[in-house]
Amino acid sequence: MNNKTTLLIVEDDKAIVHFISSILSVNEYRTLYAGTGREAISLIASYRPDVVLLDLGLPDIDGLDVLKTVRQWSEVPIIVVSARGREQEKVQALDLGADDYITKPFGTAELLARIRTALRHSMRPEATNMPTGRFKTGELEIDFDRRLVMVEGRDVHLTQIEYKIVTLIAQHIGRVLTYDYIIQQIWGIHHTKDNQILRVNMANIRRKLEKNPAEPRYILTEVGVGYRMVDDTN
Amino acid sequence: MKYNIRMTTMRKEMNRKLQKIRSDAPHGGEPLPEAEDDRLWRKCKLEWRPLLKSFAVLMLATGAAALLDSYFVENNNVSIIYTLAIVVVASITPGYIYGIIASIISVIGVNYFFAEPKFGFNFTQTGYPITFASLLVVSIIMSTLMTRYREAAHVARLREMRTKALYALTNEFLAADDADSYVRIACEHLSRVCEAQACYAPVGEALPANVPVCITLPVEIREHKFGTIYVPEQTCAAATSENLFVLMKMIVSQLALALERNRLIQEHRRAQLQAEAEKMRGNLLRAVSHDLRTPLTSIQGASATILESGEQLGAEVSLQLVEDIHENSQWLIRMVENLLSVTKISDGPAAVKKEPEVVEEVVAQAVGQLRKRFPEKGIQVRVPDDILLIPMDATLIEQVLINLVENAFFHADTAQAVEITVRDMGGDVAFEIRDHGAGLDPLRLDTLFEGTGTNPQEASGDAHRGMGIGLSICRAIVHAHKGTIRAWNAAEGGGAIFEFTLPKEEAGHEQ
Repeated sequence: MNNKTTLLIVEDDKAIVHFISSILSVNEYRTLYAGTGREAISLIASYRPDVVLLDLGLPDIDGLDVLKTVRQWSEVPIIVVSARGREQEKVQALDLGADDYITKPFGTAELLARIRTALRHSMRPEATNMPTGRFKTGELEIDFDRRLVMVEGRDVHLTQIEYKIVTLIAQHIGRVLTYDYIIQQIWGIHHTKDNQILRVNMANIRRKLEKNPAEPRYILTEVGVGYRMVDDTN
Repeated sequence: MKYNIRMTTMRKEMNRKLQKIRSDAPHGGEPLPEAEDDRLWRKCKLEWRPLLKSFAVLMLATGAAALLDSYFVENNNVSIIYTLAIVVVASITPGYIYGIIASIISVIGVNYFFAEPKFGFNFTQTGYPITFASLLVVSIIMSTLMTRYREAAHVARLREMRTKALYALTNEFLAADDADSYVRIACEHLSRVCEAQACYAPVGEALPANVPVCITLPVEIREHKFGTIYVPEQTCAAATSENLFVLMKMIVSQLALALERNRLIQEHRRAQLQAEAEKMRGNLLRAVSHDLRTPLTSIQGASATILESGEQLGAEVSLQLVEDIHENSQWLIRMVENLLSVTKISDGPAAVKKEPEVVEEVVAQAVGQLRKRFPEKGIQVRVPDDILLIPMDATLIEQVLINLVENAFFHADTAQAVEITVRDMGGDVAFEIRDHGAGLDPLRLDTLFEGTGTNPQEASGDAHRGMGIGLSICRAIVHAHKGTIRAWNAAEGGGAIFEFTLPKEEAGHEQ
């Protein structure tokens, strides 16, 4: 197959590159590899990969700078690889245009799921205007035309704001949306430190959609980063 | 600068309270005794009221004597009636002067009204000097006694007032627990005492230069100076009264004592936390040096075996070796996560960055992690219906939950699910992790969180070594959040219960 999906792995540790590329080739992806940020930029420019897996800790330049540079001329989906406890870095990367992130250490299943989500979103760019039709994941169903949300066939009564939040997250299913992004989209406030209003709204949504708010099935919290709707097709 | 702002808001607050105190005073507030340090001065000056009282008493006496005189010819009671009048005058008037005046008037009165010749003076009458002298002596003795008694009563009242004021102050101090509230309470009391607004300036903050300051009192204990109490208004009552000034000084020294005690407690607490962090770091290092080698050796050995003789090994053996590598590396990852947590809290509670977090989100994240790692184990979660937002470092609390649940998984050794229950306890939120296993060894209950390493009897080949260090990290994290952690065996159904609490509100500022 010539038209295999191409992935660029930007990572300076050979062992990690090795394990990622093995698991990817088993899953029929073609992999490229860059050990430094500069190499990564030139490879993205020349090979036009379908997805970039970018480790933020690179030997030459900051991974966030690579992200900034690439975003000036390319919309290629970029998945950032970052460590646990560095939530601020993740938020920064997402705000700079990264599509998603994955936390080290990660399992192969998680990695593949993220790559599939990123590919799906790059093939079907999100409509910025009002979505239409129906949306379904698991037992959660949204009827955009009738502005209805249903769980297991039952109507769920959401407030205006709650409905907006749910549909926003649903449109980006599988991807994490930062608190800032959601607040900006829903309330139109830019760069606020205070995200309590969103947290409280989300807690209310959870109580309406989920059976047990401590074990959510539909909307997951990435503590310190944002929210993600579970994509059950993965 | 920051303190400045706080001080100003405090002053505003105090102003408001002061207004309230003043407006309350006629109804509820205990009236303060008048300043009576000018008693000496009053002794030598005649005032209208006691003078009128004395005259009234003397008139009554004269009337009574005249009445008796008209009934009985031989009348010795006149002097006695006047003596009585003088006793009364001396006891109801302040100082000696009224008593003396009364005795002089009485002598003249007796002479004029009752001695022969009636309504005329006869100073040559026998016994007259004796009557005069005895009346004078009676009056002076009475006045002296009364004055002494009154002075004693006054001193007693003052003492009682001071004791009451100090008692109220110490009572309020007992309820407070930080320097700011000590200062606020002391200022409130001082403001009430001196009937003007008392303010506090900590060391390093200058007194307002443009305001004429009436009284300044240093708040210090031994060589340690905390600050200065000052009263900016010239009208304060304490400026004219020695007694109130003494009371003010007493309040200020109480404040100094409270501040000193507060400082010592803070110092002690800091030292304690530091010692705890130090100990934990030491334990961790020991655990790391001891326990990291084992999984690393196992990983190295297993991988080397596969590399060198992968051909000869059966597929089953190879798979077993790879599984070992996987399990050991997972243990290493957990160890490193814990190390990361320790570096975050090693600088003390102040270094922990707390943000309000929704409790169920943190619990959900921890449960998600645990399910990923232990898909075969059961976890049951219950959270309250109310949305609980509490200040915490989510990563650290997630670590605590993961450590405790993992601990339950490894030690309970049962198919029954581990239960996580979150409860709203009013001021705190309690997180309970309960398993249905064999429970905790009662001998180890006391040292469970000490991180003294693993029990030597425990098998060291499986993945639960180093759990002791996990628990000590839990304790350190919870303490860094000013929470509590404890463990006990369930009374019913068996199994171990671990519970930690986190305060809902950030504790007051420490100084």
